[in-house]
Amino acid sequence: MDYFAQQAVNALALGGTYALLALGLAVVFSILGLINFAHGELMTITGYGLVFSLAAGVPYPGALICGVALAVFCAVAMERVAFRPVRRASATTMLLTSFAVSSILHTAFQNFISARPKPVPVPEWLGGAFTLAGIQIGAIPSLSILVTVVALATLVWFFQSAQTGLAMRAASEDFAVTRLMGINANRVIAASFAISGFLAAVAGILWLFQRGSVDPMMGFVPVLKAFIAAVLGGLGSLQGAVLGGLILGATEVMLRAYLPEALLGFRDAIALALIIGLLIVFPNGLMGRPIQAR
Amino acid sequence: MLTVDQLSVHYGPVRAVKKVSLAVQAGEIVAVLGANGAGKSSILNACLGLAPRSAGSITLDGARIDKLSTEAIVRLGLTLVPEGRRVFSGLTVAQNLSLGASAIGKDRAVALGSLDWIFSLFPRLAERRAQLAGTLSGGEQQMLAIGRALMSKPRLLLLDEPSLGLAPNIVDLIFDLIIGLRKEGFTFLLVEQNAELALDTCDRAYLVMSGAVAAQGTPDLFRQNDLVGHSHFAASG
Ligand SMILES: Nc1ncnc2c1ncn2[C@@H]1O[C@H](COP(=O)(O)OP(=O)(O)OP(=O)(O)O)[C@@H](O)[C@H]1O
Ligand SMILES: [Mg+2]
Repeated sequence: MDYFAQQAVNALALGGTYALLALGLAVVFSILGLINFAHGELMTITGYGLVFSLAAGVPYPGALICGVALAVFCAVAMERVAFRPVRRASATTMLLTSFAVSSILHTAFQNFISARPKPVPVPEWLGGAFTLAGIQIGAIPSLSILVTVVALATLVWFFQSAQTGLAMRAASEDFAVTRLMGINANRVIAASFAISGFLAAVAGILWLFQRGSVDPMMGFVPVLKAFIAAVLGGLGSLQGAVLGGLILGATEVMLRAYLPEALLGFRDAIALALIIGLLIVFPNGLMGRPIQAR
Repeated sequence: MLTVDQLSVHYGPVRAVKKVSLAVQAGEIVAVLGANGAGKSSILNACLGLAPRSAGSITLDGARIDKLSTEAIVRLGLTLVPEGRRVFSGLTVAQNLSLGASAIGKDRAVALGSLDWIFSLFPRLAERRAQLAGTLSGGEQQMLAIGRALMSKPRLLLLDEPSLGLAPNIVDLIFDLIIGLRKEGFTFLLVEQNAELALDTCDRAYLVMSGAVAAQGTPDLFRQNDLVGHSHFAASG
């Protein structure tokens, strides 16, 4: 029973991190129809931002803020430099552009920083654990859950009540009419990239705390997982992205915990098979709108 | 107030609008009539920068607006209620209206009492302010689409087929509103397939056929020469 409870906490923690990443992809996709595969590089950028600010003597909380700010800045810059010129191009062109941005950043990290992992100092208390109702819970999973809940609650408020949040939802439904409201299209798109950069940064920090190092390829696997989660939830649906992330995280953790030893090597294959099964039942994703013929 | 001069619109190789010129004076109600596919919506959309203009100019109060972005044009006081209403269906009535005020800013809309004004024009929207726009009836959605456009108190409103698919009593309500608002100083350019209704309401009309202006003049002129009959309009639209 204790073992299950511990695994449930881990499932929520990993699922929450996937949810934040998938949400970052979904926010941009819902407005631009772009799947930004360079999203993972924003996590990596957060990591380097943290490492270099710490090396420059910035205190830890300040360094975290620097890492997040750098990711938000780079996300907005990415849109301005790479995606805006191809905004009216086909979805395929935009997708290829995001691959290009991603590999340019990889190469830059490898050549200008280092191809090898750079250690990220993690605060000591994060290595600990505490006991709640007789169950030992690690500090990192607890922090992940807490941060995810706060980030999601803030976003719910933002999309329900803030004028910019409403404008973003409107733009995801009907971009032309949103502009007819006198809302600046560029600003809405920039805001969606800023939010996705912020979410990538938060997820990136949680990811770094687990791994303890940052390397050029760090963002690759998580963004792939986030993409799977977003598709599972229904591409473009924000609630769906969160749900997809939680389901994917929970599936992975539970398979790792309960699969017999001989099958552990097939963990990812089994997880993906389960998700394909779900997609056969829900072809538009769990909360996706039916895709209209265009 | 609004002058469209020699406007052409191309969709790829297809020329939907051919050298159309029309003008709207302040305080007028002007109608654009024509059959399906004549190019009426393309003309209105081009005025707001939403259709690809390939030639010609569009001026508002003497200043060129044809190179401005849609949002910049709307901030000058010219807006469009698009064909098919296109309310934000996942947002509530109140949220739709609140976005409608974006052109002038929320504070200014509050200062002008925009929301109370819309609710007084359309009491049914007030009752349904917390309802999702996608669950409104067609007539209520048209009220919301017009109300949303009025939130920024535009001086000139372009309406694309406001009567489309609505029950007669709702159509009457909307056209009475247009006439009432004109008395308060608003100006209208409206596209209608229901020619009788449009001619009863407007000061002047243009007939568009295959992307070009085929006739223009007062409603009396249109009726005397049976211009509308010639272009295969039924009186019922
Ligand atoms: N986005 C577009 N891409 C390609 N062709 C278009 C587009 N929009 C309109 N057209 C074409 O331009 C022509 C004029 O269309 P438009 O919508 O302006 O006509 P309309 O007079 O408003 O018709 P309706 O009364 O049916 O609304 C049509 O032949 C239409 O097929
Ligand atoms: Mg039309």
